[in-house]
Amino acid sequence: MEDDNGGIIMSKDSNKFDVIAKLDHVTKAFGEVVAVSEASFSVEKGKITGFLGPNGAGKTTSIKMILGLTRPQKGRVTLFGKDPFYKSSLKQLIGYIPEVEAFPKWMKARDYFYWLGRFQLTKEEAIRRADEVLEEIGLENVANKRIKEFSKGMKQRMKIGQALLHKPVLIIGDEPFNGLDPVVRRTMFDLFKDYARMYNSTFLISSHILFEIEKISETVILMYKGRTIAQGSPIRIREMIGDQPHSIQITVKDSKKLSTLLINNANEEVVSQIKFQKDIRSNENQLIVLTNEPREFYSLVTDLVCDHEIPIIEIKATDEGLENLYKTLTIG
Amino acid sequence: MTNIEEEINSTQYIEDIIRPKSVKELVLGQQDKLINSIKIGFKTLFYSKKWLIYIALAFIFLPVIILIEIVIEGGTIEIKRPDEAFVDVIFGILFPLIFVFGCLLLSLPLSADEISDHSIELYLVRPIKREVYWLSRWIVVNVVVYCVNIIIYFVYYLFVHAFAEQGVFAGIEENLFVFGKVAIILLLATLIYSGTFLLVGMIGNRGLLLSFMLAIFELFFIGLFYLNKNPYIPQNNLYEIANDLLPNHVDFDTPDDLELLNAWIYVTIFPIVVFVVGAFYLRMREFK
Repeated sequence: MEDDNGGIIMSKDSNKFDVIAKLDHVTKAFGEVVAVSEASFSVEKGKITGFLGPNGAGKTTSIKMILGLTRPQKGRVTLFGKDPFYKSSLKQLIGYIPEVEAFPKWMKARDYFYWLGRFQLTKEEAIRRADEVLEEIGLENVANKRIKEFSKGMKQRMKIGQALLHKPVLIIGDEPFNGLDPVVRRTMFDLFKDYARMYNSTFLISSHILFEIEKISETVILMYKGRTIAQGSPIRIREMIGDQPHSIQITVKDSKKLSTLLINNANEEVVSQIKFQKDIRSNENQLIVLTNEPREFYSLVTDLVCDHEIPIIEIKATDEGLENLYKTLTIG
Repeated sequence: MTNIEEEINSTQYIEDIIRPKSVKELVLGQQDKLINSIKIGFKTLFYSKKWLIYIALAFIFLPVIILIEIVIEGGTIEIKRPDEAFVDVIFGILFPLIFVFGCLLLSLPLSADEISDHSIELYLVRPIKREVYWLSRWIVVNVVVYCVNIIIYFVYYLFVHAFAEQGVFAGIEENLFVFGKVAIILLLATLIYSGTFLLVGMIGNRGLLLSFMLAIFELFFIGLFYLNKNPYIPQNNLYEIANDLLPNHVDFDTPDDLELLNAWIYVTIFPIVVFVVGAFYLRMREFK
């Protein structure tokens, strides 16, 4: 069927492609470094799957194997039942949000969407979708600006937007919410949910922040040191991690104001410790907050930055909480 | 949901995309993507502005040439044989000193730069075949290198005729055949070097280093070794063809065992081999 704009909406009645992507006992090493070791997991159609693991767990390598950018040394990777490395037509069905900035320096925002969209869409569709997606990600006002002039958060939204242009069946995001402030992050969550609902798009979203993944995922794959150690519902994963304290890093210009607000508005469970530090590279102020209630904490931060108009440069979880979970799961 | 909407369900849609295609479908399907990739390639090269650096570099030699002419002519610039002067400038200065470097410079935005800024990954996760992507880059680099050089050479052609002893632009039409033959040699040189540097640049940083060494070695240092008489050096083959095309203007000392037919075969096969190797390389390349 087609949506109002003529795009194809995927109906939910099929079962042939219930498993869209699959890794079957896959191993991939770079020299002596084993990035992925005997990993097995599957991505089911129509679901938003969270792909959780600390930095260096093998998430990006797994994603690149699904995308057909690299090949496994052992095991089998399939996308829609085919080998993604050799079958280029499969790419019509996927969208990819890379972790790194992959922008040709000369491109303006609208051009970027148009030229990338033209690989899958007709000229008219590419023009129309470029404008639609710019609106969806809230960058319609800067459509004719060069991407190199954008802030980190705007660039992140551009990366998300280019993956949605052709309403793909599978959208793979490698840390897609990095660098987004809480408000935009929430908007992007809603956007993903809209695509899943309207176009029956499937998502594989990697992150090292459990409570980010938990908000949008129906199922979570846990990866640690190249191995998949669990796959299940976010509730089950959260039960496992429940007792672990979480360390969250917030880069903000007015760190004193935010820390005062946090202390005044949260109990000891939500904010149990705050440390001040400076980013080594950018010299920007950072807060490292320890919390036992991450969900409440993220909600509180969102409310505070909106109510008091505090510009957040970056908010991200450090890997400490997850590391503890993985140690619990792998060592016992 | 209407009947038509029911027909276009997800399984059909996916199956239609992943089913094996006939050659005709495959070609038609990739044609648009090739053209799109070529357009992106041209824009990338245009906005990289490396062509401006190359053009500036090419015209650095202009004052030197003027100075030499003034000294030779005893205070004035009066070029007795503009056609000879033109060929001398091309084969004496531009070709040996900056042409190969220009091929390297102009190919960089589509080779090493696209690898290092990861934009190649963004293109290759789209339904363009890797070989088609390579073809688009190969076409773009060759066209740009040729066009930029032909413009530079034409400016030099105008310049030498502007100071012709017989009058301003005297002989400019009669000598066009010389320009045409130089353009043929330039085309052959472009096909040889542009594809080579595109491929070497794509190999990565080590490839880039290798290509720099190649560029410097062939043109500046190779003469120091016995290799300068090697028939497998592209330049020797090109000079052999130049001897044949412009017998009244050049007389390069090419290797004794190098025959004209072999030179033509060499310069024809070399770009084909590079193109096939490049397509195979990109087909197998992993982006980690």
